[in-house]
Amino acid sequence: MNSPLPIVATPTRPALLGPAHVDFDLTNACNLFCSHCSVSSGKPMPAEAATAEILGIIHQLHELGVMSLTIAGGEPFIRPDIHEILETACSLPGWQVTVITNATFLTAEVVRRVADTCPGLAINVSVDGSTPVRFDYMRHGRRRTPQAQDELFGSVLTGLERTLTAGLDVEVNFTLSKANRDDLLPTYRLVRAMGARRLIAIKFLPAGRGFAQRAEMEFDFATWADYLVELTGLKAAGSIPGLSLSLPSAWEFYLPFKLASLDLAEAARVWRYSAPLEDSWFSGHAGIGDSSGVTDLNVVSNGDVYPITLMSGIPAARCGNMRESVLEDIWNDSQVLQDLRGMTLADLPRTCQTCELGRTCGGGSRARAWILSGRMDGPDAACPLLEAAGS
Amino acid sequence: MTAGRWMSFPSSSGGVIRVAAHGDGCEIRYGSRIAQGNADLLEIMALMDEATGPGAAQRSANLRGCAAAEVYRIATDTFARLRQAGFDFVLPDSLRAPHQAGRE
Repeated sequence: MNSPLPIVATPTRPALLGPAHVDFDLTNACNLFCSHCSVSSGKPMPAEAATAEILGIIHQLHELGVMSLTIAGGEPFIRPDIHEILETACSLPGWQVTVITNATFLTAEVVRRVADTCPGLAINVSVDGSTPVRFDYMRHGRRRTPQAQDELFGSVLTGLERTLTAGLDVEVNFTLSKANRDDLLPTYRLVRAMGARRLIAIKFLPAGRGFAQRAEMEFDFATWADYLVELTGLKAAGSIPGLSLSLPSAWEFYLPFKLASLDLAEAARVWRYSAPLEDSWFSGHAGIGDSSGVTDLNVVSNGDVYPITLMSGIPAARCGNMRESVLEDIWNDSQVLQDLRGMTLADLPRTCQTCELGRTCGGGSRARAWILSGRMDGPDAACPLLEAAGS
Repeated sequence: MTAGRWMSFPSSSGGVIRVAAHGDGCEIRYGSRIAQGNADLLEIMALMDEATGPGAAQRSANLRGCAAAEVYRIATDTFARLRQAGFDFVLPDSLRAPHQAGRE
């Protein structure tokens, strides 16, 4: 087999005809009440889309050329029409469909039907703790009895086990915060022992309900830097196969190594990491390092559209509504999306423009900047260089 | 083909190729890869020459300004032949999972 084709950027190329990746939140309803939830799930939104509308949106997404669809919530399996939705999505050719779930609704019958009728479906199961108490800390508000904690944790692990036994394509999600970093590796070992091959540690970002947990959960830079360097040693030694990291921005990967005078290239090799702007294809489409509205989009359960899920709690980030416009028009005409796509380093704080990593990082996370500063072009205040500069 | 509308069709290997035309060329999504605009198409044509022999370059010279239907025909033919020649297409990490480290 030949190597993958190189992708050659051209300076004048137009925006994509449609998003490449979409997170579609089917409902805001959830049976859990996670303290870090970036979309503040719990009760359903007013006027959530009915089955026919959901299926219509999925067809629009497919017709617009979406290549990767992630179905999320809320808890998507709380919807009685979830099988019809997943089966429809999986029946359409040429894209990857993933569903994110807390696994508490994954009965043997549900898993069997998914396995039988949803070819190619990937399932991400959220497991944020290695014991009932540690899991409950993240997932249910810390006010429950030991028996309730045991039942919930057992329910999640049973659901996970069923997906693994059925041979589904499973990945475990772990929201990684300052408060639970010591439980990442125990959780990793637990799910690996169950047969899960992959766990992705998603670095906490203070969006939605998580904003109120910022002091407790958000990494300070020094703690994050030490932790990443420690994990990198394990990764380099081959001790944590199948464990990956999802970070909000590129400085969170590179800066810990740079400030400690460690080898950035070696760290990137160990983790097989490259920043979006290091990819000629991406840098041909975007002037900053954030994919929100450039390749990514989020549709929520009432049809509202946002550049990315982490921005769905920002009223000014709303791009339109699919009950009022077709997605193609929203994608092309939304001022929010046009502003994000047109943004360059020159629009961002001066520290980013002069930063040695600026052209690699591309200004950090726009979602975090918008949440913390109130402006889409504001400083990503979690970056220690911006903090030091007083931006 | 209607400009801006996606068309899906099977590749020779059982995958799905999706192509849309717009004013200045076309955008192609194959499996997990995107190519867009005439420049990318020309690059692909050049690789096609390498993979399947001369001929594609002549057609690519006629690509600029040609009708959407012709762009579509050339693109579909190109991708089918490239796939037959053993090329694989992968999604850039920047697109599939921005800022994800450690995926194996």
